[in-house]
Amino acid sequence: MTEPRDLDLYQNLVNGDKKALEALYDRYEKLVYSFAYRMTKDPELAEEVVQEVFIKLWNPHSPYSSEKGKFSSWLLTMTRNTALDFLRKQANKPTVEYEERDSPQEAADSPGELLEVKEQSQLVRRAVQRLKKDQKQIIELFYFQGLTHEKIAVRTGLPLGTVKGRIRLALKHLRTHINEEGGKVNGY
Amino acid sequence: MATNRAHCDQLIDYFNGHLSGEEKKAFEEHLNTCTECQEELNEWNALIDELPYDSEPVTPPEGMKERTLAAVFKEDETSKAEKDDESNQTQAISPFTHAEKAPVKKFPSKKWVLPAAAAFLLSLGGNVFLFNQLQQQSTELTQSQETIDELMQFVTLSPVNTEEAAPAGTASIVRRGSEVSVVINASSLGPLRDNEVYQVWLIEGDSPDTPQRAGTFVSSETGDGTVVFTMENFNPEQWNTIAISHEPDADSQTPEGEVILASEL
Repeated sequence: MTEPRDLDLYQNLVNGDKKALEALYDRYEKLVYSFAYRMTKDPELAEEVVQEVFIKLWNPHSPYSSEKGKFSSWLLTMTRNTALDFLRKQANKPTVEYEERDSPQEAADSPGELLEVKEQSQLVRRAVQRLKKDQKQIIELFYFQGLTHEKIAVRTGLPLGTVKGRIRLALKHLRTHINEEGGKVNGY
Repeated sequence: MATNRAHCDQLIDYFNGHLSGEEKKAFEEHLNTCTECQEELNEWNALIDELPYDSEPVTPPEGMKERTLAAVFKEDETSKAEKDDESNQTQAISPFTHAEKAPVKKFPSKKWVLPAAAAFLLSLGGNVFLFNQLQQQSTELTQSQETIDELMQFVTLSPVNTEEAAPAGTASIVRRGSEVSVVINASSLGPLRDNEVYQVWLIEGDSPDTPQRAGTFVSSETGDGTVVFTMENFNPEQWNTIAISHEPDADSQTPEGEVILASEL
């Protein structure tokens, strides 16, 4: 089965093809939503992030080009930045906080979704699960909650000067685990 | 060199978008000359190929596609009229209002677990809303985990100040496989203002001065509140008190506000 490539769909989208936007939406809806939900921990806010991401995709202020790497990476970077933006705005309206994630809620496959996404997801989640608790925590605070340097220090009880080193260490372990889990994850 | 180090220390805030316009500009000038920061930033940017996949695949809410496409194409029309007006964009994308949230998003929703879980939750606080949420979620999500929940401990939280209309609450500690979830239900909570929240704390017998924050929630209009949180490696011997405090905002690292409910464990 030959699916149109992301880049081709994106080109059509830039030329005003609504169907191309819809095709990209179908392909990435669940990934973008799941990531936004992981960051915001709020289904409504996650949906707002998804909407904002696709609005930005349709009205690009800084359009995608293949020099920027994979389309999916670019889209996810936009998702993360948008979610962080929303989290900052929502800082006054906190929702429930989870110390650790609850049991997985495997969602049913949706049509048009990439198999690659599912495999990557299983691999990365296994790798993250193998991290020590404090390493998971610092990645959570640093990457998913996008806290300031100072807040990470307060939340972890680490001196300010130690935070970056601990992030580095946690990421190093993560990378080792990913490689061990059979990831051909680095460098497409 | 001192200023250089100070700049390097701003990398996290730069990456997470916390620097103001001028700070950002100054940092970017530093970045141009600091290979150490460049390398680290490149590594962090590359995480986008990995860490987003640490998200549980969740099924988006029903109708999200229609709402999103409508927002995108509606935005398209407005942006033709007012191009480059970003503040307009963010306002136009919310076709729904924020309903009061019941924090049940991550509660397991496998159908066969539901009757037991729902009955269990109902028995705690008669929280019908929560029950409805669970039912609703069960139609949206399927789940593969097959475990049996086991109630490890159930305590009634006592109000610290016994005024009229004192709050009431319960805490249940439930084991599910290797994880332990704590379910708190509270009622007759007073109204919250501005950024105020309720927070749950676990206090160790050995170090009562350093309570661990376990969860944060807001009350509904009717003064009810529920929070579910999961802990790995939960050792029931470790904790001897659970408490709920009324906090000025969600950032409290230790209880700053008044403790309203507590129980020994």
